[in-house]
Amino acid sequence: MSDETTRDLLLANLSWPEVRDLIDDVDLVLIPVGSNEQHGPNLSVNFDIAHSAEFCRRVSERTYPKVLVAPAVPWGVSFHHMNFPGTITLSTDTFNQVLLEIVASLHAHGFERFLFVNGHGGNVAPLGVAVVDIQEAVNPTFVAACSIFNFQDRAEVDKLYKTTGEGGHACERETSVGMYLAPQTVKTDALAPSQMTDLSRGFRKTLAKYGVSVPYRFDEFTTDGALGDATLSTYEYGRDLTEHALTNMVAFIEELVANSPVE
Amino acid sequence: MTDATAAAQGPTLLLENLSWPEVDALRDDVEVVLIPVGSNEQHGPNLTVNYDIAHSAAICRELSRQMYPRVLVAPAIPWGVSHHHMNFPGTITLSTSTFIQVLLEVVGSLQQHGFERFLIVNGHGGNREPLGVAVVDIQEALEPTFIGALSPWSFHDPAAHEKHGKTAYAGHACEIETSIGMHLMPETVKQDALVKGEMTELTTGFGRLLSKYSVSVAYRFDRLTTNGALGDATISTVEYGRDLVESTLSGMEAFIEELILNAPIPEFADEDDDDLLPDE
Repeated sequence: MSDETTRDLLLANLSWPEVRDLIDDVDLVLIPVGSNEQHGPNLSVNFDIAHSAEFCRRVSERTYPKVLVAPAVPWGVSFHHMNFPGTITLSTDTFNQVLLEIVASLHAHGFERFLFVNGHGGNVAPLGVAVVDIQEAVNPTFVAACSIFNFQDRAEVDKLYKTTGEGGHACERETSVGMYLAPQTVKTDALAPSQMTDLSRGFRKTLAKYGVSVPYRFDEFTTDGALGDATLSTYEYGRDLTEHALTNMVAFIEELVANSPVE
Repeated sequence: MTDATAAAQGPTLLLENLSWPEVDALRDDVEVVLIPVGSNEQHGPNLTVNYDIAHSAAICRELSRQMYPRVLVAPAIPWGVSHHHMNFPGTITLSTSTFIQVLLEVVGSLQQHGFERFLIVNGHGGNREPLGVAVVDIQEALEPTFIGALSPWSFHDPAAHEKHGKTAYAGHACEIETSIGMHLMPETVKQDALVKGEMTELTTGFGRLLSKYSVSVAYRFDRLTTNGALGDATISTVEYGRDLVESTLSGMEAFIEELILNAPIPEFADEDDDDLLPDE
């Protein structure tokens, strides 16, 4: 970007002397994670990682030059989407080993705080394991994992828009975020209400209520791979979710840095 | 005799107490196998290190009584993933990969004997994300009809916390765990040693934000509390524990019934063998 006020900070675009010269200015490294998995007819398979990568880039603009964004990891843990073509999944062991080696590499160069920024629900449990393993093996000053959807103030934002209350994947929420943040991921002419199964409308809600982990294949929940109703999606809904998440994330990062002094 | 077991009536169904012909005979009656997991980790001065696994084992035992003979309880796994408690003596931790491998082999063994639905019942917060990974790995490797993992505290009645005055930072070796111990496993409670958690500013400050946004961080527990406890174990009561346990047992029984309905076991179709024959 040419405008001085909207500069981002992406590792991929830097030379090694540039990296060397900014190590002391960078308070935190963000590592975007997501997936390469089916998102119904509504979104491209790279939606999750496109979302988290662009989200992180915008965080780096707002915090320039204190937050550096590492290259996005293209694949996540997506066994549950393998019955739809186009999905690529890593095993949790492989995914976590990749994350550990990324942190170990950047830690060797002098970076001390790391935050995984996740765009895919199926990565939440693997990331909880990864941060423990990384802390034990690499012992950086700070390593943590968060998911963008926890920063969106959904309860507040959802009141302003028409939603099904049954979203969660390739739904009105993700498609709206795509319209605002990553429009190239949205299959505008193909948007359709999802084809959810009885299991999805019934027992899936009980599982969610009690936080029960069950590895259902996604075609058991929906025959077209989507939940909710992507035809309700709007740019404005995506903008509000994203702007809330960006504001909350920037404030969170300031507290994170204040609470993890580098020795 | 504990408060809970004194009141309980009827037989339990624990694998460890059965002979193999007994197991063979009850296979068709058993609809779900429960696998208790927890930890061997410090619980402040208030509770024994085996609290978490004693808790989940007792919950499973009571469910097997309530639903006899449809729910079988596998032997409890003594250790969980507890790196974050290793700065306190007495804690034993497995790595996540070892923990998952043990679970996978337990399920694999019982599946070979004809059991098809498995529910891991977890008493330790640090196991939650490892269990989320474990169920995926087990499904991919073994494909049982049903594999799931849950934690009993998801079934606690929120009204009980209000009624009994839960503090803001409960969560480990606190009034919740100690009250449950008093009711269900009094041998785990160090009655004469009960004290408040000595929580740090990290717990009362930045920790709140981590909770709000569900951020995973691998803090060692001595950074959160100097005596290993959170909340205030001194306000624990048997009545608080009873309210929590009773809401858990009734909620889990209803959940298991719904699980069974939603996870039909495919019947063996002998006709399928024809697929192996050449076309006629």
